[in-house]
Amino acid sequence: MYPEYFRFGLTDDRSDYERSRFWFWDKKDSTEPIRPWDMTISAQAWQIAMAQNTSRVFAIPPSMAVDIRVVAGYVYFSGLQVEDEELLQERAEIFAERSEYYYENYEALYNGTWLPAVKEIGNEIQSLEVPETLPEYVPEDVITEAKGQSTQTLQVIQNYNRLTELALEGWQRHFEFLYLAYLAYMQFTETSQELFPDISDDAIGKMVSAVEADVFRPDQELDKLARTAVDLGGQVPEILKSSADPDEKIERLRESEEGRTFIDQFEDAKDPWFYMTYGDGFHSYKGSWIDDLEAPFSHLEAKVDRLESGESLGRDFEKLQAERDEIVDEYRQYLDQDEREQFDHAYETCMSIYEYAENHQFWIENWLHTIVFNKIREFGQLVVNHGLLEDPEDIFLFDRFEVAQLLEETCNTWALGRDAFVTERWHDEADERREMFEAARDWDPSPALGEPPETVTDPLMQMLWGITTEKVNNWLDVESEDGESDQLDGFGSSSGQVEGRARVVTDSKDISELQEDEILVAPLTDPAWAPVFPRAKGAITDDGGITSHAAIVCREYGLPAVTGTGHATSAIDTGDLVRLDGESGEVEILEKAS
Amino acid sequence: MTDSPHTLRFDEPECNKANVQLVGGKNASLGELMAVDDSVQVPPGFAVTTTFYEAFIDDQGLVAYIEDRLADTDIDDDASVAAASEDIRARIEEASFPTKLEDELASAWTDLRDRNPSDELEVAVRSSATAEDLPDASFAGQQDTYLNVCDLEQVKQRTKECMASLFTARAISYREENGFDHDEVLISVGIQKMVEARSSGVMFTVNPANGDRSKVRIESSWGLGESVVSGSVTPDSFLVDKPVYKIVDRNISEKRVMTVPTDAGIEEVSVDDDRKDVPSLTANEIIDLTDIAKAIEQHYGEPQDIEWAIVENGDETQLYILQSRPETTWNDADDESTSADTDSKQPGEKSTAESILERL
Repeated sequence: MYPEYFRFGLTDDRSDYERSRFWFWDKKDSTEPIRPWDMTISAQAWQIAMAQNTSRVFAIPPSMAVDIRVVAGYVYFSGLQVEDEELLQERAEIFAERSEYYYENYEALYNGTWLPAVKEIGNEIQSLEVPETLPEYVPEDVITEAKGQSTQTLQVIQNYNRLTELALEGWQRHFEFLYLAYLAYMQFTETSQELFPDISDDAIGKMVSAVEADVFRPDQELDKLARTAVDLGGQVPEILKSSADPDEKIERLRESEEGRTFIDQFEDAKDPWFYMTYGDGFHSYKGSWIDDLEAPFSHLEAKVDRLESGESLGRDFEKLQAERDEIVDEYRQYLDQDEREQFDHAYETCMSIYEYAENHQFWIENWLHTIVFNKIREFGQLVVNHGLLEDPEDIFLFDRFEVAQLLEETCNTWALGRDAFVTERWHDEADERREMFEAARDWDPSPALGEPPETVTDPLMQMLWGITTEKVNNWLDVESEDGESDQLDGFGSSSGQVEGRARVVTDSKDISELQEDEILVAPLTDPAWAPVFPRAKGAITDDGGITSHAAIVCREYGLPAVTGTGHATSAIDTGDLVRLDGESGEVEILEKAS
Repeated sequence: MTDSPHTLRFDEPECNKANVQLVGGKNASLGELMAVDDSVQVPPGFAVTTTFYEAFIDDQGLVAYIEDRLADTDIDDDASVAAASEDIRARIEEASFPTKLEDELASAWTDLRDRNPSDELEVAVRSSATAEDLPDASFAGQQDTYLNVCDLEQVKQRTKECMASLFTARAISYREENGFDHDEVLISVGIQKMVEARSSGVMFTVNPANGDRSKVRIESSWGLGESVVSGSVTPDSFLVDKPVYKIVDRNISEKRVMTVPTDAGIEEVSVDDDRKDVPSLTANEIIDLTDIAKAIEQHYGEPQDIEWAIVENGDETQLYILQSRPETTWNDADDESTSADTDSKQPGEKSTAESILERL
């Protein structure tokens, strides 16, 4: 169901190694169990691309990336460190040369190579042809043009193989700049901490806020559409605010001149900006806006409403930018000339490459994943049409290699006729796995396994997953305490102190349940949720360090936030009165909902 | 200045550092603080100017007396100098102000009382020398400060005593040794409303622990500032990040004693048990103080060491700045430290990869 190398306890010597290490649950990406095929573009892609990027491409000196294990669809990481002095030295030289090339040429490499390459990958996947069914007899031209015997089946196999190749290639691109971006951020953070001892994470966060990244574009496009709707007037705002479902709204819009103008603009925005996944992009079953327009229409409804009552939309980018620049200028003013040069250098590098951390998330986790999942669904439909599965979605219950077998068997079933093949075993297997996943979703995995380290020194682990020594100790405390605590500690990720009723949202489909002035409590916050942020008073997340998407998104929208509390979604219930301090990172449950 | 004034309120524009010769260093610096911006208020008061002083000693024939008395003094003989000092100071303290000057002082006093209506106006009277920044800084008795002065007669008497401090034995010897003329050295006096502080303390516009200029360190305790300055109480301390106004460190100490004003001056008393461990500043006051610290530092263009006090009247609080001077430790150290900790390459010249490597 998963590649064997992801299993704990495979052999005795592997078990010894596993027991001696510290494994933490990657709750950021596997909030819910990841299905076998989805692993192709998550854990499997990470194991390949993340590992080589760190160890063999840029040779980030102290890190050989992370080793990965999977338990019931939940992903566990263990950081591998380089300790040999000679090796560290050798890697330092390689790292210096290679990373500097990327830092120096970031603009050209990103806009000139990276973005076109990623778009080409997505476009090629979209162009791969998958037949709905294989024909009763192959077409005439197989004979007249002497094409050989099985062009259709060969094409199915070829295109599936090509799809997986392209998906993995996309993930090579995912990591291309990622660590360099975080390292530039780390350099800026540490430079600031040296020049301004006691500076808060929140202040550093403010200096790198107001980023114009593609990940915020979907929300901005919805803002534009909402303004268009209000400007066009006629029936358009009324239709958007009505309780009709998306299809009905579109149909009614098409009936009027203004409506058609709106729909034209809506269609233009869809590709690529509505290729937003519901959730974090790692779960095929959650779908995307483009296939289920419920989210964009529900956001439009709220936005039109806001505009009509005279409120502004979205984040006030110019204000954020002005505040940011003022703060940066003031810090600079307290430095002498040498220090200022050092600060400026670190800041400029960080600001030029840091947008990548947000851009890639749109282009890979949302745009590309939507395309990949939809293409796999076409294969799923083919398999269903030949009777090997009952639901196209079931194809995601099998891993990349199993699906290759499934498709081969589909082709064989077609060739031999159904009488020769007993294919019900795929149905049965799918039923069994579906049940397993239901059970796995209800399971509460342990935040960490194995031998806890005394101190966490890996900078990437701290920045991306928020795994700090303190956090590890916290986990251990929680595990041993057993009792419920009314205090939670996390990272003060976006400043402001607020008090309000909690709304626990564990599934992104339920995000619209968030009411005005409630405090959002979630495993993590997602860019796709940005449109509802104006409604929230604050946010508390289980996971995410100070540079996590959760933290960045909250800062961009000026939403007070505490991230990385570990277990807010289990400690807090909807309706609890909570107080959060976005500076100190403290959360207090003031009153439990009865 | 064509018509040089005999008195000058601190908030008048002429009371500034360009006019040290008229109002003396101390008064000029108070006027200068008032010029920072409206947020910076010093306790109200006025300067009795050097022009006033000159008119006074001219009128009473004191100039000639001083000249003659010093001519008779053996400057190498300490006893002789001490006797001369005593005579001259007595003569000044016993002389009367000419009517015109007396009227002007009286009207400045009335004006101060009218502008600050309260039950009873109490002022501090202190000398404000024109040459405080000279090496020995001892022309005048800088320490001459008379507290709890509350009527015009006393104000007049204390003003004369301050003026007389120009002729301490030490000041006389100093001028002789350094070749300054006694009749060219002038003195001004400051008359300033005393504030009954709820809390007071000092603040540094730089973190005194490490020279980080992005921080303000505020030390605060109950009552007047004397207990903090003398060290008899460990003050509460707050470290504030200036650009974002975040309090990054706070220590609330146990404040056992505080200084309060009495009829005769000041005294140290015990702090009530229920106030000992309570922070002596609110979060808003800390932010206001930070704002003021930033404004004053910007005005002077270098880190400052600032004395402040907060007065509470019913629901209203007023923040006063008592004094600001350059913060010496880090102002001087600045140049050395930067050249010392750069080894081979200037930090700005390092490549991004190299600086990241250092951190890994």
